[in-house]
Amino acid sequence: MTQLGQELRAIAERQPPPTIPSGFFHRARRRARRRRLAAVGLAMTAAAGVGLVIVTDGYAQREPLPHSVSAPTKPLYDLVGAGADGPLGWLILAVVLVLLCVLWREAPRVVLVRRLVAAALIGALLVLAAPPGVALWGEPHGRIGLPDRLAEPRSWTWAADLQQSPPGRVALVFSGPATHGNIEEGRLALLAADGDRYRVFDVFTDYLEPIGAENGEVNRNRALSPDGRYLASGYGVYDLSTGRRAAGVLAEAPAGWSADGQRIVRSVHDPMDGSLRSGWQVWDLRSGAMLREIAAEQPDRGVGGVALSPAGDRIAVEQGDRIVIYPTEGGTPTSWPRGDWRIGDSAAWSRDGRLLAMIRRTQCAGCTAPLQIRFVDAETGETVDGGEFSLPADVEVAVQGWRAPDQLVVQVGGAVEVFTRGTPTPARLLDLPAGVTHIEIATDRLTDPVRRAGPPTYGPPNNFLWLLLAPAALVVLLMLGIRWLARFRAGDGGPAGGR
Amino acid sequence: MTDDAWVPSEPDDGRPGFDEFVRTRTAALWRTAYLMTGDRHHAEDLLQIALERAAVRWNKLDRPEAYVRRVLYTQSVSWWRGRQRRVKEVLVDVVPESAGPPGEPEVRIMLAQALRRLTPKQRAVLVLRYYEDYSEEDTARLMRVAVGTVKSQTRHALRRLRELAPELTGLLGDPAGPESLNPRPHEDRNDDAVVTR
Repeated sequence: MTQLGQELRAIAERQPPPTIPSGFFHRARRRARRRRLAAVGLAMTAAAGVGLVIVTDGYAQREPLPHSVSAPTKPLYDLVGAGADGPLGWLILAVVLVLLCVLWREAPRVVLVRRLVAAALIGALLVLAAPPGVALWGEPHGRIGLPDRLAEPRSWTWAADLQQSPPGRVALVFSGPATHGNIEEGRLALLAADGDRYRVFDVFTDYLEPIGAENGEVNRNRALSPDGRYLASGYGVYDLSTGRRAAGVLAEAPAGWSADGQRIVRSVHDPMDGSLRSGWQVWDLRSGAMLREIAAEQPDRGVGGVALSPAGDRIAVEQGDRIVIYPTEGGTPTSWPRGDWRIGDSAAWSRDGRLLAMIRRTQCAGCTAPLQIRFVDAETGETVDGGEFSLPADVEVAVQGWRAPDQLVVQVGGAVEVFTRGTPTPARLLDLPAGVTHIEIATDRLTDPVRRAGPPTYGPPNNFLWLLLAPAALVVLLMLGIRWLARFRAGDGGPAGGR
Repeated sequence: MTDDAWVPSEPDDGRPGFDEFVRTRTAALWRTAYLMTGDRHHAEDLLQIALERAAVRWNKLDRPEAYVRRVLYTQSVSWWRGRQRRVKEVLVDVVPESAGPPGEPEVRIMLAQALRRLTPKQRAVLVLRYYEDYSEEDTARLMRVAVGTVKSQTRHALRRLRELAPELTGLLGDPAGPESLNPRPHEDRNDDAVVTR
């Protein structure tokens, strides 16, 4: 033995050995069993979380579409549907903390508390920092119906774009200062027709914004097809099931749709002055043929003022101070005076083809402009019994379509109301979130039952998130690399104790 | 030196064998654990972990001491455990003055202090080579590293000790020839033969 060895022995022998307690053997084995159980519990928690979401998502997709009955509530689904950012994230964190507590039970109290606090902080950060509603494990499907409330995320910046993650058919689209981004001022938010899946569509100008509102006009072009599959915008028409622009007849944004979705009406503009509307064309989507072209008696720069009947066999247009009803297959039109009433958007024609919704904004200098809605006979223009309603002044009014043969759905300011013939007071269908000023509901969805809104999801992480995360990850990796290199050069051997 | 030829007297019944093992071998195992860590609390912790693992597998171990020692060696150089044990170095402006040639107790204190400032791997190499008298090959096998790693770690450890405590130069031998410190080659200890049934 060397002198160094002798000194080492002398150092070691100066320390008296500890006493190993008599029950050590059984305690050790009990501790090992407990640790194994905790480890198995952690693994099972993770597996159960993932499995629960997958199973629930699959179950939701197989569910038949509830067209006539209320959609059943699914508490389990609501719990896990929002991914890691919802209650599930907090539940898993709580279970993990309990299991870690069992796993580290033998550690000194201070160490245990320190470790648990660190684990809780990291876990809470992960749950909180998960972009809201980013559905890591799946998104809600199979929940047909209008939700009783819309999502109000802190920011729509993290939501996936429709081109990145097409939502499929949508129930509605809405916009306003709350959805508008800092760069794109016309960001629209879309809600899928069969679940609380939200997407955004960034456009330069808000397509839902009424044009000419300053002149007392209330109309705008229709953005959604009746089934919610197509979305018109200033950039053209997008197929929401693919996220791509539609071609053919739908290459150009229509001004209105027939309720069966088979025919559209387009505005025709003056070739010399693109903003001057000179007439309308009715197109059949199945054949791709133009059925009828109608010249405007008084070309104008407005929008709306046109509606197709549910089957697309008639078209009502504003011609001067009259409403003219043209058969789209050809034939003699009928007309009746409109006074200062206007066709209530392109969804104004009732589902049975008998009624038209008309809107009047009384104009006078220096006074507020009270609004009125009226149900009129499409053939004669006569107001039907119980079909007149007064609205508060100075609110945005947008006819959404018909929920039933005698029920008209209208956005009135910050709410969506149902006006029923014979009932002077409308019923509230939906309240718009703060900062949402425009909404358009796909007309097919208006007949669906109202369902309880579930936790919203916003699609996969969008490019903006990756652009933020990538530099952050790069910086962390660089710092780790530099630290490792410094330790290696200092002879520390690096984390693995290398040579 | 240490004797790992201990065999449980009642291999079929766990607890009596384990208690006997603990009673007879704790002191030797403790000394190794203490040298490996340089700290009494950490050494107790390390020994407890090794004994716990042995207790869990007791009925499957043919050579329990070899197993416990293997756990001591591997755990002492574990990066994760090393982070918790590492003694932080405090840099000072002036090297502390020596009061004169150190006596025997001072040498041990200086050596113990200097050992604490080595990396766990360097300390483990020194303990295995100079306390346990293992050959470079046996040390490499026990630590599951290459022989070259053992040589370089030994060289780095001795150089570091000389830097930290120049007074120990006589104890540590000639810097140019660390091989002069080579201990007598140990008989084949066969610590690697941790047979499990």
